[in-house]
Amino acid sequence: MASILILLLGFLVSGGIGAGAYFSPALTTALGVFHSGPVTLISGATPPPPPLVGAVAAGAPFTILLLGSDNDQKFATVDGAPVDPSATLTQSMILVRVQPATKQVTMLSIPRDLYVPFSLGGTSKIDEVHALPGGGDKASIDTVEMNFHIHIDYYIWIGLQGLISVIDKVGGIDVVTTNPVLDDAYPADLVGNNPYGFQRVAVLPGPQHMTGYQAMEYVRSRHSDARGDFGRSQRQQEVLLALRAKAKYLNATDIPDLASAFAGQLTTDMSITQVRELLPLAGSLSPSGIKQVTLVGGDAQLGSYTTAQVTSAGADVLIPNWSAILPLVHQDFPVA
Amino acid sequence: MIPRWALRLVAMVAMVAFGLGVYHYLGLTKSKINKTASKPTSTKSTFALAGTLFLAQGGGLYSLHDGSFTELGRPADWIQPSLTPDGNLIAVKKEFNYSDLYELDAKGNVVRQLTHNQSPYEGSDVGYDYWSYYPVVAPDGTLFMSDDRAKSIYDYAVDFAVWSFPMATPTAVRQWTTPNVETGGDVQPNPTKSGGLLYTKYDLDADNKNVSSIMLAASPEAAGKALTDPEQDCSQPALSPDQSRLAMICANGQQTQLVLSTINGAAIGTSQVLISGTLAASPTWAPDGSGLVYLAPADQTGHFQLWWQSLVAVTPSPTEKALATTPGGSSAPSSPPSYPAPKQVTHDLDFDATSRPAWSPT
Repeated sequence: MASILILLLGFLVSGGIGAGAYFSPALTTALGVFHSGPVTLISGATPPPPPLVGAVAAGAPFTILLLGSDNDQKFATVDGAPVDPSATLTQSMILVRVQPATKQVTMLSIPRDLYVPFSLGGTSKIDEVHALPGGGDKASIDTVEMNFHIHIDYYIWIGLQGLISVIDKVGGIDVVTTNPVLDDAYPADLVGNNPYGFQRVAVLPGPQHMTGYQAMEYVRSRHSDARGDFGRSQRQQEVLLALRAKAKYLNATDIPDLASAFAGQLTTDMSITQVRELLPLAGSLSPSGIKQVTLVGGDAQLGSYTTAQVTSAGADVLIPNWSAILPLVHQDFPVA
Repeated sequence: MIPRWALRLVAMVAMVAFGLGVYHYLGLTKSKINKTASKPTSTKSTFALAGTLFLAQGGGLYSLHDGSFTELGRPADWIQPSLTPDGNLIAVKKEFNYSDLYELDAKGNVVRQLTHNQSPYEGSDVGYDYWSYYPVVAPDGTLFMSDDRAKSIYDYAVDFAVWSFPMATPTAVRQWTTPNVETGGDVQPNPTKSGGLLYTKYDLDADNKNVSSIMLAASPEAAGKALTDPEQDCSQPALSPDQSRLAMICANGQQTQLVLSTINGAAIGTSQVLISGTLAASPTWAPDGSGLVYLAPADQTGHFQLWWQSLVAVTPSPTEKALATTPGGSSAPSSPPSYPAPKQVTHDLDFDATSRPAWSPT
């Protein structure tokens, strides 16, 4: 009898080792990405804000700030001197409100040129707060909270290469591109030796299957678009929705592959348990349950959401009309 | 009697094998979302379509004849094959910062380069490079294309306009359309029998949203007439061989509809939705007008496969509902014809959905 028990235990242990080996890449990445472990994805990166475990009850609505940045070492040195590698502008800032009970999601893109006061002091384009000394993810969160009068429960930061890798790991995404996206001044920082060089981009219109690199060209291009940064914000939301559509086919056994794509390219203050709980929700959302908001145009009574202006320093900025923006934002994001 | 040490050894080997088996089993239960597409030449179509189709996948051009694929020439970032009146192909070769049109023979060998869009200035600004896409040749040998050669290199605006040139003299380039600035411009030209041009024009609507319309221009530089409403967001026009019907793709959020309309040369008549609830793209008429092929995903990979939609009407059963109407024109006074369900022609391939297939009758 004892021999049989030992035999069974042996098989149990060997099976466990097999499963452990399979999921070990995911575990390693999780320890690096999620708040339960050390967050040391990018050497010298600013630590994320303290974890907010328990701040959101299971099933309760919550707000996430999605941040997308360059992290191509373009800013690794200035005049030969090394600088903080986390000193990157945010190419993308999207507020997401998730209501698990009603399976509704609202995505609101914050224009990168929005001219706002920073939590650290000073006023400039909102994408710059991430790159300031002492900035990073926390300053971005604080600045958004301060200006939009909302509470952010979690944040997720992803680098350009991370987005490319994730899209490739899920086998590409299907997108209906809204128009020909042509750009003669697209940064050639992911190819070649000159991070300050330019390349040309031509994303043709209509339904198509995109690789990670093609999707990156689509969401990152920002010239020759009559809608300016609003057009880019809209494209970023389209790609997120396409990723969500693909994510609904994922199994738990896909996680190790995905984890390898995230390595060094993702930081968040969510716990792995919270992410795991989000995945089924992402798969169960219907397109009608997803609301996309950009600060383009305005309110009939309250006026335009933003006004384009050039600062005395020559920077193109968008001056926010908070009396029009805040009522729009607070329709879906509660006042803090 | 088997010795105990041998039994222990067998048990240990079995345990190791079990552990490895668990590892491999977990790998086998992964989703199929990133399954690599097959090469067309390693597959057969589910049924044979009459004539020969030309399609693009992964930088290669392929012909599909009698259910079998043949690779044409060498893979080289080829897209958007189109037929010439004498049976050759025109295709786009996409390079890093520019693209050019080439004439190929039926086996895919390069006959000649038709455009030269790489900057002649070594090390110059990339703005001196140009794109040419969407080639199509009219029966009289005039080639139409979308091209950004009218751009200024001194600002950011880059838009496609439709241009044409006689195949015999590729340098005699003529501009047909004037794009709306910084919208992407005018694409997907379709020459008409009357010497006019159908094409897709991109614009912004009152809500600052990107929209597209099917336009008709009577002659070069003539103001185009919109045949569809911008809010219907229609594109990818494909005229039937007798030019009495128009197939097009109309957007429906992050899905599309394949819409069939009658057309009298100057206006669109009755319309009906043929395909919805998927990402239909790049409709192409059968040479005899009996149906259409289009590209759309078929499984969780999201890769675009070839589909066939017969346009030979069937008598609807009493329980069958009439298809939706009027995305592009006036209301149908009576129920539109019913057509058989579309049939999937290919499996496990990954066609470029921005490349409209070309279809030769032979």
